[in-house]
Amino acid sequence: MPAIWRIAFLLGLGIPSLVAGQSSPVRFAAALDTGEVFHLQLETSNGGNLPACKIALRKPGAPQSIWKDIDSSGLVHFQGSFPLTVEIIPEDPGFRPTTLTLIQPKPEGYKVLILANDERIDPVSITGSLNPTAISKAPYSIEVISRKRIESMAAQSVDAVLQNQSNIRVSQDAILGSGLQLQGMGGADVKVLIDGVPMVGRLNGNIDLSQIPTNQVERIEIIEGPMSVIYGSDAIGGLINIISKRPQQQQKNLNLHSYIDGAGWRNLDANAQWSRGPWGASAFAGRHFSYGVDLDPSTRMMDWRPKTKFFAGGQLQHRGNRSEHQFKTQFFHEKLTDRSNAESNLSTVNGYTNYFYTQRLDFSQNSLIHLNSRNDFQWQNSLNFYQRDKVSFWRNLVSGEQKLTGANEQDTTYNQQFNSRGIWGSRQQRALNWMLGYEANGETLQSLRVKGLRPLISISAFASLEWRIAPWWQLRPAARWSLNNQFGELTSFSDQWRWAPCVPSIQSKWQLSEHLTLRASAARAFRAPSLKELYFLFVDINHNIHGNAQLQPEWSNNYTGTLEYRHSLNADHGAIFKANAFANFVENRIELALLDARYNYYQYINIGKLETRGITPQLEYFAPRWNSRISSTWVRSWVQIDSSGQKQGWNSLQAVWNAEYKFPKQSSSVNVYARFSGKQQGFYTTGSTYSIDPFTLLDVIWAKTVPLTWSRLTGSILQWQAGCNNALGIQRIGSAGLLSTPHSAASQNLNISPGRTLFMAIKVTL
Amino acid sequence: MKHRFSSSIVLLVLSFSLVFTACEKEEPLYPQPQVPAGLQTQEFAMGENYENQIWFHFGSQSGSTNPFGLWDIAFACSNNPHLMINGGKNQAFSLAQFPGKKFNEVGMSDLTSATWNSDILNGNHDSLAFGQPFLYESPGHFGTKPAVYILDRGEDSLGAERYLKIELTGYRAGVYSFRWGPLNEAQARYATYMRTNEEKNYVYYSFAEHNDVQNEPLRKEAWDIVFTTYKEPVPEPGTGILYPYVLRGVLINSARLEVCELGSPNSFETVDLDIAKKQTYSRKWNEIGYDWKAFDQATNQYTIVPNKFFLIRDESGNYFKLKFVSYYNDQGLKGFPKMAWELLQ
Repeated sequence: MPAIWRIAFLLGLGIPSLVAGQSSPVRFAAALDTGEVFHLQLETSNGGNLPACKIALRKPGAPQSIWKDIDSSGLVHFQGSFPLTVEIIPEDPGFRPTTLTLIQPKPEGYKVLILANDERIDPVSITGSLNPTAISKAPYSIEVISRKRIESMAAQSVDAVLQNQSNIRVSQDAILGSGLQLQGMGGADVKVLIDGVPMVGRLNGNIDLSQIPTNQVERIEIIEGPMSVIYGSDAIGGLINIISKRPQQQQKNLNLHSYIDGAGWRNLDANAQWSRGPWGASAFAGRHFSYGVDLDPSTRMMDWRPKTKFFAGGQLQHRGNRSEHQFKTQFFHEKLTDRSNAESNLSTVNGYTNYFYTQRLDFSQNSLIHLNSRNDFQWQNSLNFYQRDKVSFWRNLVSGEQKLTGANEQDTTYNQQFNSRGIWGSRQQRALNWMLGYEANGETLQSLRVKGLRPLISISAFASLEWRIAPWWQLRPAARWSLNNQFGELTSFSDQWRWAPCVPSIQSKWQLSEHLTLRASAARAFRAPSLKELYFLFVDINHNIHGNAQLQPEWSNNYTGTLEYRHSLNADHGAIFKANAFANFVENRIELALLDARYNYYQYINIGKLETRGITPQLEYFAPRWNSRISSTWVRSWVQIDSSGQKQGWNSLQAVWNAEYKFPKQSSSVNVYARFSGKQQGFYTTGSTYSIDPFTLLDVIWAKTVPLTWSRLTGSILQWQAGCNNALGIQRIGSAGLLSTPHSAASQNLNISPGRTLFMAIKVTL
Repeated sequence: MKHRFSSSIVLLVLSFSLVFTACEKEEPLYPQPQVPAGLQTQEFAMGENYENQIWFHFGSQSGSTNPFGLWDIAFACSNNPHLMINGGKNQAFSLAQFPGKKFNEVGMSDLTSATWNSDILNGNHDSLAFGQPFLYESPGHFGTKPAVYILDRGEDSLGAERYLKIELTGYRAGVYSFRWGPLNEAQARYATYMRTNEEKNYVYYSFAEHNDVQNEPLRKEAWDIVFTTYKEPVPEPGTGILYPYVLRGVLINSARLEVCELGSPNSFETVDLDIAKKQTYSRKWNEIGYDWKAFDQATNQYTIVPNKFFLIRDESGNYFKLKFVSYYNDQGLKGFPKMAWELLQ
């Protein structure tokens, strides 16, 4: 690679990535006469299949472009007069967009190399922007977990992927599933999206990420800190955007994957993609099943409950000359079996068996329309349905007879959401870029303890301006304005609608040197009260818990600074150092507080304050045969739960380490993932405290790729993975004070993992 | 290469087969429990909504059931006069004292300064919501400390009569006298006499009925324990702060029984008369109490606390061991505690 290219690439200035056997990537010698037909031959820098691309031809200064799709050969014919500007936008974010100017004709045509994006040093993100953007160019600090990295963990669900992030703390609940913390803030303050669509179905504030299988995940993008300007409520602590696989142009394949481990999981899933011309389609289906794990076989209750998950979905895609559209649907079903301990009453033995059924059904449409050479419009609409049923049986364990328990023991929760979002903006190629958008969101909740159908509706507009003040300085102010039916000041035109306070943010990025970037941001964010917090009602002789329709949203001020050093020494060596410091000041925290002890009267109220400050240093180095990444997160949190002004604080530390060593001759590799979770502390609104002891988990994974040579399968690939999860064998750790009510049974041990388990995974790509 | 490829295919087929055939296992049946000789068991039907209370006598192994919640305040039938309130009726049912005040001086404005109390059923009269309101004058005659009491009956549906004010006016020769009326009225609406019954521990009064009501279905010598609903302050784990809570449990007839709670390292199966005789016993009414069961918030179900059992010594000097084995009946309905006990010989 010519030196000037490397410099241009490393500078990250968006200069064309083009090879034509010339010394300059920008200018080409050509011999064709003006108005004659000429051709471009596109190839990929990594020798792989050419991704679907759009190519635009434009006279310099002209507002309109001529857009064309590129066929599978990569050969493009044009007719035009020189000089010409050619813009190539790969659909696959694994490749970089390219812009070049052809100033002279060239008789043999042009050979254009589409640079594969190096996911290790500077991956691409689509969160918070209209088009794929290298994260080094993004105004906020983004963490991207690539498909390759997800596969290297042999992770079966998204929670297992995220637990290898130092800035995210993943917890497990036997019934409610996984929960997480980001920047010291709980799952209710973290927005979870799938392809930009917010997920529904929070349990105790958390989205259960174990219900998202990884088989259809292309990558996961994490933005720490507030993203409320673009994504609205819940994005106080940060945002996790799970990006699904999309059909690639001119590719057809079928993947079969199976996984077996000692924790009882038996997984099988498949996905296929097909494309022809502008059309592409993909489908996936799978079944993940676990027998569960019983750490104490003398009891009936299992520590890790048996689960059966079914999932399926499909996607239809059309890529036209000036627009592209995706229609997607997916279905998820989970059955969790929860058995109480057996109780002998001396004449027989009885016990409960509870079944928790979760169903998710999602529909979404996403369109990207190239309005002209400068502006795009993205439009996304989605419908999400969530249902969770609890079915409880009383079982005679001697005879096997069982019957449904009382009506109060059964429950069904329905949660539905409609979301529509449109963003109109300019491509990030110029000194001044802008983005205007709207979002309309409606959500309903219905359950045994939330009477009636309660809607929560909001309509928002947002705008951002990205100003490249100098080649090394980029400033992005943004703001969001919202109307909703719940909180804020009443509008003058209707007593049903209220103005929510404006949500502003400002981000700045300084390119201090070729490899060194500094980012700083100040942002305001909010979390609207959930429907449960607004309308919950559970009153019987022992419970007196009320929602509060007067709740106001939680508000947060966030300040973040990130210093980032990304240096690719050559194609095979690179290093990344990143240090992220943050401070969050959350007010109006919504807490379930005991307002009147005499009546045992609990109600959700805006009372608490939370402050978190922390730092996340991260170091990564990669070489041809190995790479290693180490990062840690220290968070200091303070909580004030009443108006006394007194705060309680605690520290938490978490660290992760990953190393990979490759054996090229054997087409195999070994990965090690280790994570240390320091002592966790916290307290309840009553003032009682809890703590959880520190622990370390270690996974070792071996992977091997075998090309199949059997006649009918020639060209197919078989990938093996085997390894040991939790090699240190940690199952339970000590805890203190993890109690919430007078009736809760004390538990001094917290289940962390089913223990040391071996696993094997096979993937066949046909 | 061929061999390696064949191995791969075999493993692949094996792996897929294992995954395809995996499904949830049928739960194996449990053996029928063997009941030791001498062990007695009985289920007590409080009802799924705890509508009943059950009075039980170990000697005759017989009991009696009556509805819970008919009464509001109870008057002791003893030489030591005192009163109880029926705090188990609801979470708010409680009493506030206004010492030194006259009946017409207490009104709705006093609610803001009220300190609400419930009975603590430990047998100590100081721990009752009424405290010790009587002053000894002569045998069988007691005067009262000047005070007015506000009773919160805890139900908004009662309207203005949710809050009542009560003034105790005396205890003479087994007869309590008191007057009461709605809090928003200056003068007393009723002046009432309650005659004690020497066959019962308490006599009971209902403000809704404006009259005495029956609550103890058996003579006081004919019952040992009662399964009922009551309220007492429960310490919040971690802080130890006491919050009043409506509970279902067992109160003892402290005139007849003493109780000792045991757990590890002893076990119900091995404890014998020698061990029982060495223990220290209590006459607290709530010594058996409610916490032999625990409520699991996650599953919304009660479980019996393992290896928690009780020793009982009755007035005849008999020793029993007692444990709870279930809180549900065979239909899976809660509110049907089952108890096992054995006379130690």
